[in-house]
Amino acid sequence: MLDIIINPFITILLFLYQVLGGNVVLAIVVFTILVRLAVFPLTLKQQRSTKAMQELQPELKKIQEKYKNDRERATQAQWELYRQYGVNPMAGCLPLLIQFPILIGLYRAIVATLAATPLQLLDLSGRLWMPDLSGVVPLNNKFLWLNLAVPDPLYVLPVLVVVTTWLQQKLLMPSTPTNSGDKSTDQATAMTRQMTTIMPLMFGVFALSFASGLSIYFIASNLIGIGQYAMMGKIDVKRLIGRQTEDAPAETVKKEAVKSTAQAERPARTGKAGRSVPSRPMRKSKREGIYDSRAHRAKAKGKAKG
Amino acid sequence: MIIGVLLALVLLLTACGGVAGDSWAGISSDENLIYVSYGRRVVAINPASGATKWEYPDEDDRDANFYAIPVMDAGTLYIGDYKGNLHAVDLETGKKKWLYEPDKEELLGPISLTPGDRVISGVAVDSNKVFFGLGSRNVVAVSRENAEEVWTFKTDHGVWGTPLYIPANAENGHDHAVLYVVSLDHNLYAIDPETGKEIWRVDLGGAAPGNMVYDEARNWVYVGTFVSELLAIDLGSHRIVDRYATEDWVWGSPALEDDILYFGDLAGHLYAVRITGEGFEQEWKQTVAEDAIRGTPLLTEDLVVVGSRDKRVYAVLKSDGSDKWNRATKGEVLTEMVFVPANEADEEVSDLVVVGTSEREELVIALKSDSGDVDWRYSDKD
Repeated sequence: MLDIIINPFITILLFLYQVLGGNVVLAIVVFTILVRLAVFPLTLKQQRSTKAMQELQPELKKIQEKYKNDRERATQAQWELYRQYGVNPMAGCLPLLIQFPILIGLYRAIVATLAATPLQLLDLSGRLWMPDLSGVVPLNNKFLWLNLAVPDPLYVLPVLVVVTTWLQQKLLMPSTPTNSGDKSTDQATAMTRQMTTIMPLMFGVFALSFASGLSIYFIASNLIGIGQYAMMGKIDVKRLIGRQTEDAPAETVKKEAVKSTAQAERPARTGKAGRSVPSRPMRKSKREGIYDSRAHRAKAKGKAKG
Repeated sequence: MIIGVLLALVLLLTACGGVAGDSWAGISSDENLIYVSYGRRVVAINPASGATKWEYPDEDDRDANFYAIPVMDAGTLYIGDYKGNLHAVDLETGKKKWLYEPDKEELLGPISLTPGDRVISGVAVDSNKVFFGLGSRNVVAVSRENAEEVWTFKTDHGVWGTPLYIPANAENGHDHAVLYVVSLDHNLYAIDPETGKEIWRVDLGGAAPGNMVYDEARNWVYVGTFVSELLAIDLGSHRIVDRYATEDWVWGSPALEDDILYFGDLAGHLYAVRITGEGFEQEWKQTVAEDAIRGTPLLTEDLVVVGSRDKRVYAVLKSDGSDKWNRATKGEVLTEMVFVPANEADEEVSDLVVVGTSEREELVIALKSDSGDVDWRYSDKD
């Protein structure tokens, strides 16, 4: 089934390779940019949904505590909360599910076109939508000191994969409180921190064992991702260099959570069904560097009315 | 973040799933035994019964993978592995004679300036050297005496087809011996086997991953390419003298008999093409299999036998390509095939076609050439 994605990807990659003068690295980079641009609306939607869900966490915890002995009522209250803030908890999953086969297709296309082994090369046959591209198969695997079909013997690329993956995660992940006082929040924070460490290392291990052409893709993808979010003004460099104290936002979240729980018990403040204006907990401190357009619009609307 | 986790899982799954290994088994034979390379070992099998005579290397030394075609010469079996090493093995005992390991420019610990490489091709031999291609690029000549590297010839991509060594023969214009090599970089190279210097090259227009077949009568070689062509190259004039367009890529080398070339393509077509003074002339063309025909067809007295990726072995009549029999196998049939003639003293026994599959429990299978019935199976499962 994935052939529907893999075959055009292979064709596009080979086409780029041909028109870019046989430079396989350039072809992979341009290809990555094109794919990231294509899935950008989905990425954006997923990011927004994740952020919205994150901001509702304090409220959800309150509900869970309040109805800890009545799961049915807890679920009802949760859905009421989602409805009130116009958040669909599944909205983050759909873009992810759509992106998932695309990423696999991309990975498989790069591995297939580099054709390090006979089975990989055999797997290329019958996949080209433009038969004229047969003449460029397999891709020239030489770049600087690298044979792109095998792992980097100098370990430069695995190191770059680890660094860029870590950098991307550090810059893009929403900040989390170090010590919220709430056990489950602290556990979630610890898990997030572990993931920030484990994920780059895991990709580093992949880079050690897989074709270095794939490492080029990882690095390009990470850098393009960082660039993409930088252009959207969603990167907080202060967090990277550790200048931001993480306790302050935690404090804000805690205080706002208390207020908003009470508000959650009340009916929605706007009459627009399914698209209600988020109340204070949806807003983030400017110091977190994340701009919440819905909260901003709501504020502007409020001012205009007032 | 979640995408990352999922991608990581997929990478793991991709690495672990699919057909086991990186390639298919390498199979060859001499008058006594069948030799099969697959995964961590090379085995010598009795062609009549499928019983194992010896295994190489010893169990404690199995740290590399073998998929290349074993080549035998003067009591020694030569085979490369997926670490870029070349092994010389005693044919009688299955014990190591010597091992060639490429030099690695090591910087610090495991950090090296030399990327790892694989030997995918078989080898060619002359009286004192062994020649083989490397998976990512270059051809290497190693001394048969002491396993020392004699020279390296640089190519721009991998050499997966077995090099062809043609000794000096004044009759066909070979004043001195020449080593011919086809590469994925689209070239056929003529190399001086003594010095490793290029004599000439021909651009084939596409990658040539398979072996060449030498036509001594014409001093031509035939080779298939990934631009869906079978080419005839005149070694005397160093140019392509004929080409036959196929439906898909041609990987396996053709089988040559009575001026007819039999070969398959990766879409499952089988061709019989006559070599004439005016160029290639198609005798017949049949869609035999539902998937790739990768290996070289095997010719019996009246049949052409091919294996396919669709997990079947097909036998068609030489005369018109019509079906004679076909046999389902447990795995994909991508290997070369070996013909084992019947023992003339025993009328009960028929000729055998021995072929490899991608399924370890049926790694090698011997079929009766007249009916396709299974005679014996060799399992690679420990």
